[in-house]
Amino acid sequence: MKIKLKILLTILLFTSSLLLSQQSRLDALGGLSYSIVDIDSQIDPYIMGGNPAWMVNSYTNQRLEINPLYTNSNGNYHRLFESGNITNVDVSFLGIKPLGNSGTFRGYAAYNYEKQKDRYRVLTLTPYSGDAFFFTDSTSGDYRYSGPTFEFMHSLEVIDNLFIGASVNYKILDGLKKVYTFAETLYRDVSANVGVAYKLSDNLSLGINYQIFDTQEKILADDVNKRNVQTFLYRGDTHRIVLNGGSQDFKIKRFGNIFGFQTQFIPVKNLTVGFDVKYQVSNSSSLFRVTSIIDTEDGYTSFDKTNINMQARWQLNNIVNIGFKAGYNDNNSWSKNSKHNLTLWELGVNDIFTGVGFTYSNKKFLVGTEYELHSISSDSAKYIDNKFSKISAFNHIARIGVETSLSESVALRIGYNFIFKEHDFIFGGKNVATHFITFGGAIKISETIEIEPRVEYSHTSTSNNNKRYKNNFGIYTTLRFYNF
Amino acid sequence: MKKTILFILLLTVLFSCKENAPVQVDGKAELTVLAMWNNSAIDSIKNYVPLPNAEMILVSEYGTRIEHSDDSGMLNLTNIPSATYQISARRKHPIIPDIIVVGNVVDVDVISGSPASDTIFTNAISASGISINEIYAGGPVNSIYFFYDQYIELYNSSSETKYLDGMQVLRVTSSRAYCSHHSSDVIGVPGGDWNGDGNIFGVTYAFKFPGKPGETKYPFAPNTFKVLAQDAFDHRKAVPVSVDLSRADWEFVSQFDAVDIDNPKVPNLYNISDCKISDFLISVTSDIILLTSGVDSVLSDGIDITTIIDGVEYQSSGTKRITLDSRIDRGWVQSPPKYDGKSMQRREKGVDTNDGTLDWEIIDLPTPGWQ
Repeated sequence: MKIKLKILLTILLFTSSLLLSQQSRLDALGGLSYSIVDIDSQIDPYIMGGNPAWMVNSYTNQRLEINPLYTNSNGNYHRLFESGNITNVDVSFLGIKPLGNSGTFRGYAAYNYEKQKDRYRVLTLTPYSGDAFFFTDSTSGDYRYSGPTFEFMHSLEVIDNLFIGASVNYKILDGLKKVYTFAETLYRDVSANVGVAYKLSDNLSLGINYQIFDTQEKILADDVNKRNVQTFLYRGDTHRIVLNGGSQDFKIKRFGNIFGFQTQFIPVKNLTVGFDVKYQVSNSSSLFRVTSIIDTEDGYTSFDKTNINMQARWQLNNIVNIGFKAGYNDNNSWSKNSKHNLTLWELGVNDIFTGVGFTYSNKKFLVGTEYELHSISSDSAKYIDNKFSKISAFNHIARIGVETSLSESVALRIGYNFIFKEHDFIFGGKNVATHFITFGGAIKISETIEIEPRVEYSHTSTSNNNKRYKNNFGIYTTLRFYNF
Repeated sequence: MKKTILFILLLTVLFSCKENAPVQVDGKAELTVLAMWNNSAIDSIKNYVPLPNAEMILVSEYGTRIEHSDDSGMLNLTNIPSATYQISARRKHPIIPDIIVVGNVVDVDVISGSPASDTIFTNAISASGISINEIYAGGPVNSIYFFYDQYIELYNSSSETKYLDGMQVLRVTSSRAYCSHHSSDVIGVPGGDWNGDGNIFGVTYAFKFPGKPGETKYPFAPNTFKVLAQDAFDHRKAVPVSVDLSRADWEFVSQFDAVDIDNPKVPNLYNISDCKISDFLISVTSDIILLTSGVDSVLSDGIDITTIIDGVEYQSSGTKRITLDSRIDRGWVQSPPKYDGKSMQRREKGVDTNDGTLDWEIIDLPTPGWQ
């Protein structure tokens, strides 16, 4: 009986310590997810599928986190209109508060400062977002963006086994280019997410959610020296319109809907299977001002995305977990010249992936590993530039994470990823290898306070003749309070 | 069963949100242009034959593109972006190298899916007289709002001496009655024939060469330039990258403006406006400039179109429409950015096909007194 009790207590302690761990732990373990038991890797409609209704079940303990971070990315492996040196300084606050019968509340606030050094000509925040348009001036220069983000989420059980939840998110950034044309950016992103979940039985839960987002980026190029402003609106990569004037106004508006469906299924004891299906339709319009009050749509882009994800975790026994993951992503977009209603670019990218992993753990030690294989193909027809391509490639991701407890209050964590891409569908490189290493720890200051520092470094390089590289470096800290 | 139908219905609704791309694609337009010239020795008898190796200038919202016709006078372009093109064909006369043959076609809609073709019938541009050849309005590269080195260059492309006596240089920017300051007096667009009686309205600034039309005190030799400076001054003393206009041929001087610079070594054009007392300042990016014979010197009832020797409208924005009467010029000139040190000049000196869009180009540096 005593032995059974000890085993039970050990399991409870271990389980509770895992449940009290947070995303920073997974990050410090190299991004292990589906093979490891953690509060932030639960296979449920909220953690896996983003359905706010289920949050009341995902987070049953209160916590407050303060997360300052510093990251830097530098190197020459980037696209034409991207900076080769980007620095981010960010501080965020996350609070989760169970409210008893009133459900659970989650609040998030962050302030971000980003500096992009020597960015080539482009004036938009994210020039490669799937559309065929670039808005540029004629200089390279430093850009800085800064602004806050706020998110509020609430989830509760309205009647037995029926859960509802909603969240709103508001982000605003202002940006400034520090050389001619001294363009100013005002970026605003508003989104909302509502969901419903129903627990049919202890073994099966279902959820659906609907997200809506509306983004606007307004750029005003108005030279402080009162020189004329000359900007360029690219349709495709080579053809551009020259815009001259005392000042130039340009806007990008994006609007979209996401429909989601999630399940959590426990067919047998210790095996959890989750499905997450998302369908997104969105569009983007680029507009410039022709009079003081009238904007004209110059270009339009339509996006549709389908994402199907499946995860399974089998807790084989108290020390071994086996994880499995598979999915399919299908992203399609097209851009048109609105004036003539002609298609400029059609792009389709799909990704079929699968992954397996396992974790071995005891009270003082954990090692986990995951491997994923992605089969990606893209079909691009850039009619305006007379460029056509069809590419298929396999990408591989291997992760390993190790955690060891040095004492009751101190743990060390190391993570490593090796990523090999036959073709990098984002940056265009071939045979791209990334080595990513992270080192961190957890220090329990008291029963209710802990701190989790972490550093990350990655090096990416291409193996073709024109060898390019990129280094990422980051310092992160999480200060966590379990009572507030 | 009901649940299945509902689920299928829901999926159908979701996926029906997806939009379809337009069937026609951009970048696949085709254009064929044939350049012709009249090789008849007698002008009244037209005998057009293909013009080989002509310079073909295509202007659209995507800017200017220069191509050449082949040996059979044909230019065939495929996979070009859809747009409305202004096209000019020009080259030295195949027989008489001293003159140029030029022809234009305008507003050619070239759209993917429907191949466009057109023929340009060129004509020999012989010595026609005085024309505005260069306008430098934008000022040098500077950040102190300096644009006082503006000038207008004239060219006499004829084979005979012309005389400037009594001619007028006008700035046309107003939509109101002459000298009116009331916004309610808006009547028409600057440079338009508001009453349809052959008079052009909108004059705001007016300066005049000394003398009267028909007099011969101020000769303009053939194939030479005249530089009309806002201030005949070496502006490099103010802004090092500016131009030296101290040896300009003429200077605009407003006798009503006590502080207007007057270089005593340079003869003056004088202000004849009743309501503008300042120097002849033109807009750095958008304006209309007229050169008139001076026979019609009454500004309040418009300028008789038959007395207008040349007119040019320049603009900064490609989305604006020309307001200058099409009998004077059919196309506006793209101006360079202000305070950028660039200038606007005719592609070939004195060659005026009455389409500024095709006749003019932006040059990197001002060239007062030479092409």
